[in-house]
Amino acid sequence: MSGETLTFIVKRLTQITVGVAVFVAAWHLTVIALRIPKYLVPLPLDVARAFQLHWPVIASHAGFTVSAAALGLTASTLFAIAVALSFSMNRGIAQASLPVVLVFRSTPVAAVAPIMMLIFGRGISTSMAVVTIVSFFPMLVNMMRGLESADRTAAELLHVYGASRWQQLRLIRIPFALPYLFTGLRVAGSSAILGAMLSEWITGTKGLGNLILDSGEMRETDLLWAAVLTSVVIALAVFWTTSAGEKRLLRWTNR
Amino acid sequence: MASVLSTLHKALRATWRPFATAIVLIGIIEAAKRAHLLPVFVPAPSEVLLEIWNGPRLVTANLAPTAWKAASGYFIAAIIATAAGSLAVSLRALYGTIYNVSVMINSVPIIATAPLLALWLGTGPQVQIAIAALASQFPMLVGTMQGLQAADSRQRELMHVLSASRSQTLRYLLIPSALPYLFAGLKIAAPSAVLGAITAEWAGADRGVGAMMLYALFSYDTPKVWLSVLLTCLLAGAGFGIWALIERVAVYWQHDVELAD
Repeated sequence: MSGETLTFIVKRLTQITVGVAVFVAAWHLTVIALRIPKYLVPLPLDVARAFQLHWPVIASHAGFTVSAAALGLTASTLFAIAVALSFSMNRGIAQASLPVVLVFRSTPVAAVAPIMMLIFGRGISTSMAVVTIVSFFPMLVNMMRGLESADRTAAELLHVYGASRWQQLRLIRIPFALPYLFTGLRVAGSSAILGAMLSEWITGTKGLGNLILDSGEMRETDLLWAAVLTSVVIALAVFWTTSAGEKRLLRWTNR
Repeated sequence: MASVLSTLHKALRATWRPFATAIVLIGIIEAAKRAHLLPVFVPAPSEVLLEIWNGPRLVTANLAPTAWKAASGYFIAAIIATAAGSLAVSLRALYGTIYNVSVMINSVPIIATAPLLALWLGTGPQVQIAIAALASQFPMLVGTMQGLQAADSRQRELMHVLSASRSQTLRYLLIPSALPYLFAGLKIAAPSAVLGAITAEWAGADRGVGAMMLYALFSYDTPKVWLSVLLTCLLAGAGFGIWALIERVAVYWQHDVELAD
């Protein structure tokens, strides 16, 4: 790691810390100044205490959600890469299966989740299946766009050198498609977390979605806030890491 | 009127093939189910239809609340998002802030806040409306922002050379060039509003497609689950389709532009 990136990271970290500190202070002061009752908005300290008290519960629930989302996202990424490659190698396959893909795109999660629950029952497999289906489409679109995005002159150069189709793919198309992989992950990442939490709601398995729902119904506001904040932090972490990866690779391909 | 009819005619000509495929597919599923080739969780299409036939009240009583909740949330979001988008484009200083807030709202699992919103707004339809609005705002904001910047510099210069006033530039250049993007945003946002309303109903509502879906799931009433799924797709598709149709008539010169994600 070079010194430049290190200072960048340090700068970024201080920015985040200051931002969080300002946010927490503003939160605390608003609640006190406006005399908002505790069951509506708890004080930051109460939420921190809920974290301290319930962290094993929150961690295990969050673990379930994150692993369901990660497994589903991995499956859909692999699947999308395979499909996009076969589409780019063969026009016929693309034309034959695009209508099916379009149907997948327009089905909302709320429609996919109950059917998956009927098929897979009340377990983590339902969440995984929902995440896979929900994140498949943005991955596929971006992978296809990426494989099409190869630089014209570079492709022609390879053609002149008499490169085989496989070499074209390996040397030109896949490298150029890499930033798009991260674009896809950025878009699919947030919908993956959302999909996992949604399916936990209706299946009632362990997970952050269910923890939020339960603590809301039990009026345990502190725990509710702790769980909501955890889910927000996870979602933002996914968003930031993927957009950072995307930006880095964009610099690399000079797009 | 004539253009509306011709558009409808064109739409029909374009859609009869998928329609025929769907009907054939439904026939195959029906036959397979009759022959006991399908698992329990796939009901025969006739069973689902029978569900509507036996209790049309069930469908109407649940479809109507979801539809109006999604629609109200959607329109609130549309008004706020287009206003915020125009503000962001006209006031450069606010551009980054507005866009980042919108991205934040969009990337936060918004339905996770449903119990919080329920605490604040009560248990009525307000929560579902608010979540429908939050879930659908992003594409409309992006559409407005991208659309208002779509006019290229030569066109702007031409308006300047013709000494067009600000309002004339807006009317003859900026709004026409923004419309395709605006419609793209409105189209994409409609299914998200339906999704938001339905998932908010899961968190607690006595009426609505989401509530019906949850009851059916917990009682393992497979045909009713599929019926509610069908209604969900219908609502989402209708929201998309209405805008697509309006777009065809209103923005006849260009459609299907791509929004940045």
